Amino acid sequence: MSLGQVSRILRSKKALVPLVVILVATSAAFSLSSSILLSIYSVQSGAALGQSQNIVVVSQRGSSTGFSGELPLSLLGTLSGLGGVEAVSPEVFAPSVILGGPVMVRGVDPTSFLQMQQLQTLDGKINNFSSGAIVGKDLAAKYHIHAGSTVSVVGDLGSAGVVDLRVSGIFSSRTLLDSELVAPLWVGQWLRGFAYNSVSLFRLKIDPTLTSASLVAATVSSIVHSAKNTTSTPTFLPGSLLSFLPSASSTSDLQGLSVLVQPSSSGQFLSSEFGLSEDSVWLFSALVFIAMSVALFFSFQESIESARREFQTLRQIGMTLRALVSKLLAVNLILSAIAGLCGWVLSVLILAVVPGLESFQLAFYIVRPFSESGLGLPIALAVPVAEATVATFLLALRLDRGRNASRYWLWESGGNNAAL
Amino acid sequence: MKEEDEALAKLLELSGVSMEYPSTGLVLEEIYFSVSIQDFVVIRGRSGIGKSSLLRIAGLLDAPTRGRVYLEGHDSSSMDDGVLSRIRLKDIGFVPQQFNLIGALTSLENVELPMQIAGRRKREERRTRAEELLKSLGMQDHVRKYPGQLSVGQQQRVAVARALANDPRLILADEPTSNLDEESASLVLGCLLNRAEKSAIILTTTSAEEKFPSTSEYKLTDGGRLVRI
Repeated sequence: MSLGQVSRILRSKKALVPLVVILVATSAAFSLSSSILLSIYSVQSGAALGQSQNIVVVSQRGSSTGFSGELPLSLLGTLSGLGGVEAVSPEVFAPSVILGGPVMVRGVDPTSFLQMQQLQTLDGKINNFSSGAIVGKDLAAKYHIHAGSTVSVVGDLGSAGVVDLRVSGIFSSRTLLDSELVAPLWVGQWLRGFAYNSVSLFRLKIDPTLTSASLVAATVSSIVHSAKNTTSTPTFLPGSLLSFLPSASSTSDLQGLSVLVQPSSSGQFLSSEFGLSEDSVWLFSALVFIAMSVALFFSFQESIESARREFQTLRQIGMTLRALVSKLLAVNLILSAIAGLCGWVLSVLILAVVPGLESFQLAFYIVRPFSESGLGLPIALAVPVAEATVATFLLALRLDRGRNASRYWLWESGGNNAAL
Repeated sequence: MKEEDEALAKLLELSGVSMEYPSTGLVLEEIYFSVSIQDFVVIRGRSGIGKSSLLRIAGLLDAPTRGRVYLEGHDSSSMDDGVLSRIRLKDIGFVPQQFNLIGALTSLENVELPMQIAGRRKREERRTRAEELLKSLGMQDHVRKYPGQLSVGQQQRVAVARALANDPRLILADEPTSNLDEESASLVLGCLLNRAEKSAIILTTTSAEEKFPSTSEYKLTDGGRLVRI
């Protein structure tokens, strides 16, 4: 018996059309939700801080997020002196407002920052912004900012300060930094209401062959611990813009301080500010998955049950259960794969066409589900295919009553004796 | 040795077969019955008495509640699904009372189906064989029609053609003439009788009077017993 004939049997029962519709809808929903969740997760997972194998973040232990801590700038000297550390970037995060919308202003030392971060120039110049700012491409696109523009930035936390900044360039980093405005350190401190000798955190670029995040954590903890018990700690500052800053007493600054390497970062921020925890994101995905899986299973069940009499006839003629299951499985897998592909295409179209879905604002970041839609494809394909496999096996086993097929006939005829 | 030969000579043997359903209770009780090649056995009984149950047990579709079914001396209860399916496919032709044609397939495709599943013939050969069978039953003008486009009698004939497709040695026909007019019934019977030389035929009917060229006849009684007439 050919696969075409099996699909004709299923099609004749009119259960195939609802199944295909649900398959496409489910695949589209999986693809959409996974794209959106993955993009949200990229914010959640600390991508904003740029944590990676060779970027280590040092922030204040006990602060609710990586952004919200406050560390003495004097720690810079200590961190710069650690073995295996190639560059240290002191940074201040200042949630702010521009043109009526939220923006994360990152105050940095331009020289140190550009050592840490690979940026691509899209407009103007980005290598010197000691008196202005550079803007990520997503933020620039959202507010139509270009090189040479002047933007007024209003501090949102700790300070009601306003500062006008001339934009020297637009950059692309292919990270969430593309949603930020990057300005000199003092701008961040001003907007955040920090003193000149305080920063939110330090980002360290390390040589993974010489050190590791855990080694850095242990060393920093040890230094902080010993600072509490000693009276003097050697300190130095590297060159660059920071050299004009007074070298504060490290010992006194470090006393009473507890630092954390690799904070949970933006995830905690989103959780505390918006109630959007990593758990809630995964719970949401699990609920979507379960609901869709149940819908899919019942659709497969309806499709197979509707043709139960025909399949039983095939068994009666002499088709083995194995042959029947393999035919059903093949048809359902092909159907699922095609529907999964269609669902994915549908989800990409939805992301591209529906206003507000192609990109949206999450806290201070512009989330782009569309850019994650490629990852939705394997999910859109895998889920229906896996469901088809499981459902076909489970339901096909129910089709067979071994050699007590009459139970089926009795059931089919409403439990009466018509089959006798 | 003689007993073994006798067992082999019996194509099908039911030994002490009983069948009980949870909903209807005991339907068949202690049935002893056998058929050999060239036997044409008619089983008479009123509607709902258990004739279809008996044929399904004989056709290896159902396992009896008690007793054994032997095929050429082999106990069917020890056979797995693959063996039972193969026997049903190649050695047993079943004409169900409700025809059980597949509505999504044409008459021709329905008749081709057993040959296709058995993988016995090439497509053209299958088609020719199916057309010949349908023609022998007067269905040559309906080969492209779907079961839903056929009368009850025509569906019955397609079901007979399908049952004969793989040249079975055992033909089980469940009231094959009950829905047919005299001419169609004669065609169906003629077609079955053409196989009588090489096959054993078991036919059921509700009629007490209808005449068949049978070699033996039985009656299924209300107590589920099979009595030779």
